Amino acid sequence: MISSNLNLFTIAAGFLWWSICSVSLTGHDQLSYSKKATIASDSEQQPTSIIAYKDTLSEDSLFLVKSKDSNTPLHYFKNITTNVCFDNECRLLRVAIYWNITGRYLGFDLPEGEFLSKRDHQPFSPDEYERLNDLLADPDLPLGGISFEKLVKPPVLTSDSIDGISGATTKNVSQLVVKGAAYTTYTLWNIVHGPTQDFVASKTEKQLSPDLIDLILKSPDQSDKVWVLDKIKPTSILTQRLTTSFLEIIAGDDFFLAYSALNALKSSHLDSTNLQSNLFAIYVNADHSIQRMIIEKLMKASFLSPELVVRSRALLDTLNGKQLGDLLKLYIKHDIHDQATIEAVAKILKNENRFISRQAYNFLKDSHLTDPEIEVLKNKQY
Amino acid sequence: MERRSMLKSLGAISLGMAAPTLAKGEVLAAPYSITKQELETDILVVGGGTAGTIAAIQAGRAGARTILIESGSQLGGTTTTGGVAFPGIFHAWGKQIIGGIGWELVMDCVQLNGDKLPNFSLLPDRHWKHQVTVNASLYTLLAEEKCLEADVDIRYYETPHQLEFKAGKWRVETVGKGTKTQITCDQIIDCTGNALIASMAGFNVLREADTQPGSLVFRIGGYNYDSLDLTKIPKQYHRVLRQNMLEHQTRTSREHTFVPYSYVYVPGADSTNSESHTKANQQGRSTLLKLIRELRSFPGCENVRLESLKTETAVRETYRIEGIYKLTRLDYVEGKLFEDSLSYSFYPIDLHREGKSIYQEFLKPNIVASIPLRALIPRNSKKFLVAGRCVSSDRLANSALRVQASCMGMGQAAAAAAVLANKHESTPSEVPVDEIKQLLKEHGAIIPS
Repeated sequence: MISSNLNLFTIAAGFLWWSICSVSLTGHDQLSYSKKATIASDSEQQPTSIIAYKDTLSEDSLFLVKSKDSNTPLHYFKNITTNVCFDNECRLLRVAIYWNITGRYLGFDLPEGEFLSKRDHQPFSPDEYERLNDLLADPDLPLGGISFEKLVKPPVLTSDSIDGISGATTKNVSQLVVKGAAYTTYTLWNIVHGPTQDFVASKTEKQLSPDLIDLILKSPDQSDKVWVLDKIKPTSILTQRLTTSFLEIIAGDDFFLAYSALNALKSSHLDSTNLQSNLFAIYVNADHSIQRMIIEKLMKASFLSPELVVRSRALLDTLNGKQLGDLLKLYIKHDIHDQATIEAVAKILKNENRFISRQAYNFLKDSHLTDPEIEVLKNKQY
Repeated sequence: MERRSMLKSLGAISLGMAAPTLAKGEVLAAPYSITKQELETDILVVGGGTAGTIAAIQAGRAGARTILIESGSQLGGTTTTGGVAFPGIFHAWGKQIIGGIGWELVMDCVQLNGDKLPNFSLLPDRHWKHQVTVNASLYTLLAEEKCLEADVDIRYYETPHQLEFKAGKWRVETVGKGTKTQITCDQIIDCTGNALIASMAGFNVLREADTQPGSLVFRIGGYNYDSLDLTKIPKQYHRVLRQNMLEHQTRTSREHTFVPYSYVYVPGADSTNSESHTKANQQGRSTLLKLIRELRSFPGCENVRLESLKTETAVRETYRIEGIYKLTRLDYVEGKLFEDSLSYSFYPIDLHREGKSIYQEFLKPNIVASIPLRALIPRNSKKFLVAGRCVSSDRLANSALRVQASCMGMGQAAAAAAVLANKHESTPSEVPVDEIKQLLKEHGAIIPS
């Protein structure tokens, strides 16, 4: 649902964000901390618009910031108003929390004059704000799905108020929270990694276009890339630009990203001569695991490009037995039994490695050649 | 006439007594006899466990005639029969350190099981969270398939009982179910884990007075860990209840929350011979039975049931060889690189003490240990290598080296050395190390540098 009833704080928070590129303290007592943005933006150069979504799970609205010219979703934010209590004294905390479009935590900021404080009423130091920013960015902290009381064992409930619990920060829990601010950390972490995160991710997933996928693949954060690769469907269109991004990742040094990108490619995408040729170009210098994944992917294509056959044929006598066997299985799968290929394979029959020569023999048998015919090929002068 | 007819009828009676009553289609089987045969091969790998399986595949793929003998019924050893279907560690500090055939098997298991690999780029807070859970049944099938593809002659249910080195060849006699086989080979790779063949051949092997316990792996069900009131269950049972939580093998996040199986310790577990191995299995089984009966007496555990039990007690430590070089704890924790380092190893020093505590020493950032060829060659041996936990090392280094990925790396390295030694009609210590490294690289292994 789109709403236009933005209040001044909302707008201020939304626009404040544009000046934040990294962890920083802004002037005029406004505190802002952030992590790397999935899609970098510059508010001065790039006009934006804000769309509000009514959050059915809470009274707070969720706002999407988009670039005005390209309509690209940039990030989401939400203004949270919550009670923070220490020693039976509660005060209202106002904080804006930001999410990247993948649902990953982006940052938080506090309106002018607002600050975070600890159990002993002391305001957070800059280091403690940094620590909070890091903790909120860690999706693996075991702070979710568990009540605060259960988390801080043994619970020391000196009164009905929260401050008693905040004081029960045990050694184990103290590694997961800002010291003296267990409840604040716990509360904010659960907001960051709560239902809003799933809502944001799901909104973006529905909007994924080739251009948006490509933008996310260019994120400086690996988890964003893995997130979007996991969302690729057989019907997703691989534009030339997107294909290039995929190929860069597969050829890159990050094994897990290459692995994820190859897993993301569906059979429908492989019916492209261009993609096949480029994948095979990567194959030549790739790690053995990636090589095998490339061959497995090509097995699922509905055809094998003639260019790939010619290029791969030239490599046959340089491969180890396992690589050769895998490539010849690819030929068999795509019914590649032309004369040039048969002759190229036949040259391997005399290889001194019996495992290698057997791969060649098996292929020729699969090409419906008889043993005498194979013997003739073996002894032929090439 | 009377006498003759009497004898004739007696004969008929005795014949009738000896001959079985055969129904139509049945034939009388020949009496059980031992089949004797003589075989020749280039490489003999003894033991089809973690290291031996990889060694055999590497030898076969490098073109050597290879026989693999395994006293059990399947390949994979600790990963399959022992149930530690959680091999590691292939990655350290965000990079892959062990590749090759072992990693190929793991990747194939993960793919064929529809699983996902963990994200190795992210450093886990606990070392074992980089171990990759595999479907042990699939591992068994794939390991065998790869051996057969490499034309490895697998001989299950066989074990060597004597060997001699004569005229530059090893002559090994094995016994199995109804078989007695003499295998003549050029090179031996002892992957028994117990340095059994090295000892039989007369090379020095070492053993601690007190060895680490083995583990019998199982899974239990019928309870909900989250709803247990642990204050009402004695603390010593918490581990076994907690370490049973991974319900499937899909890795969608970077970490496991728990080690994916439960186990009971088996003090002094020794798989060296039938008697000691039988004892280790019996001891583990009776301990487990007792445990289950005890667990069922606790609130929330009344319906605990045993869901699966591995065939054998997995063994951590028995014998190790006295090699040309003995890897020390210091070598390990400092990540010493040798000229003849052929494989990496990454795991903390991890000594299970009397089954009550574990002594651990973690490697410092960016430190990865390496294994030199000389630690795989028994001192004064010819044409003989070992791979796996019997690697020449002191006790603390051994407690880290014994893990699966390291053993896989050793298996591949030993096989490459054996194949080249065979090719050069030489012994592994005389093969140019660069040649071994080159062969390993060609087969996807990662060489320490």
